[in-house]
Amino acid sequence: MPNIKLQSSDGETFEVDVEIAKCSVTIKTMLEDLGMDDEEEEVVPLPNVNSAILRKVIHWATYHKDDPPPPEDDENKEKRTDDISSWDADFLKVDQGTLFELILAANYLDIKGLLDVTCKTVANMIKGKAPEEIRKTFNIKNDFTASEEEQVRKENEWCEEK
Amino acid sequence: MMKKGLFFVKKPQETNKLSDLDKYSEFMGQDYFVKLPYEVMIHIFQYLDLKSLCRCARVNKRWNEIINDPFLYQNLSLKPYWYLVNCDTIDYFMKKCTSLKKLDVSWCGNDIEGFDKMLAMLIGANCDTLTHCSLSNCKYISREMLTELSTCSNLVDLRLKNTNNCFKLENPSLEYLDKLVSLDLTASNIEDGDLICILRQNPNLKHIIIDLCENLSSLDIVIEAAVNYNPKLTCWSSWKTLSITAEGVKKFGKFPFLKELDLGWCLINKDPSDSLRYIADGCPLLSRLILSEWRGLNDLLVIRLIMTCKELTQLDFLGITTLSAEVCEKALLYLPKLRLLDLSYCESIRQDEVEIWRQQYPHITIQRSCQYTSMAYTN
Repeated sequence: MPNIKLQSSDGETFEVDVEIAKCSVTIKTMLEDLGMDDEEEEVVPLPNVNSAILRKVIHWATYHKDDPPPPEDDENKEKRTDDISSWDADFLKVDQGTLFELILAANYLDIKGLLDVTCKTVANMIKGKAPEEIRKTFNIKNDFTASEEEQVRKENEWCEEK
Repeated sequence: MMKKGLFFVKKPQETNKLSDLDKYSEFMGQDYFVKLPYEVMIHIFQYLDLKSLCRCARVNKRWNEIINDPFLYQNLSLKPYWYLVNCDTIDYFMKKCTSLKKLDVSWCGNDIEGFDKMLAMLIGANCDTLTHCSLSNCKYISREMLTELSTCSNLVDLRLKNTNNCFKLENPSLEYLDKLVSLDLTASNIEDGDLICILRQNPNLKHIIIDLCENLSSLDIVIEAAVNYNPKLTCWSSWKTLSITAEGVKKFGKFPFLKELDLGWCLINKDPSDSLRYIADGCPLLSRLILSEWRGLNDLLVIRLIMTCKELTQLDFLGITTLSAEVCEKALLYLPKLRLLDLSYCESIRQDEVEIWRQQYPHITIQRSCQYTSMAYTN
């Protein structure tokens, strides 16, 4: 299997099996557009991903390299969040900073499987929490004025048990 | 193995041990959502249930704005919240739903004044995009509502279970729908002519559920219509819709794709004749067959079924007192995919025989009447 080199934002270079790297649609397109297939010495720069995150992304992609291609988003299918594999759940036992960096990297590199599972993980952290609990969990600032807050509370309270 | 393909090549001079630490402390107490672009926020929010979305709308201004995106409300199921839903709720979603595809308001809005009007507005506003609609157990569904539904020309799945009296005599309903694949009219007052009209208009119908339809007075003719108009039929259920005879049952043999057939109680006091033979010969894919209370059924008819329908996973003989233990044993032995055999109230089968089968065929659940009572005693 031919390898390619990926360079992180902080200058570290990773040599990766081409097939594994191609789980990133961004890299796949780049290779096709630039006809880089045969040029072994080419280095693909990834200015938006640092080495710590890139290492994790490659780790994830290597583990999932034989997965069937992820199904197209099917609106008919219910969006589940309880179908995260135990390997992925373990892999994503990281601090919030890393989790969100992984989301950004998956989005930038266009790796659907990784984006799905990281977003599901965040969704699971949101589910079942009251607004104030969500703010606390994610250090979110409440920028509503008191009257605005009262108004959005009224608008959105239909689903709360009385 | 896991790290195959990952080679560490070179490490640049400015290693990041320190800056990682810096980042960590810098990130403490940080709101990482600020960094996420709009479409990624949507990607996360799409996994949330309605209640969580409502709560997210109250977190801050940016979240409140993103939560209004119609993309998040293409698939709206209010059924889990039926006891909380009122006219204001529908108004709340009117603003968010502009490209609704699936709507489930089962059980919602009964005994709430004006709810039907609000719901009709919501359906009307989304009539071009709606493909699935469930109004089951909505007692206020009127002929006017059916007219509104009839304008939803892309509907493929419509459920009107327990809506009682929405079909009016002598007036065709739902006459503009022609893409239906699934239709549930359980316990509705639909009549033969109206139903045949729907079958004719919707050649792609695969799932037809007409349990407990008292106003269907000649089901044999309806089945004949389905044979002509709906050759792709895979699922038919007319449980306790009684106007069927053995002649009608024979016609199911003309549906080669049929997988599920529920004719429970249909032939309760009628002679099934050799109707089952037609199903055995014509429906090789049949997986689920409910024949509860077919009191005239005998071994000979069932054996043919067992020998030809090898895809059967569920067989329901509830209340049939004329079956022998031998034929039941053959079903257990010769149907490789069988997982559920209902022998409740089959008085000709002894309990000790069932106990032996349960040990011999542990992968098959054998239902018996009063099973729970006896379990309660033994435990």
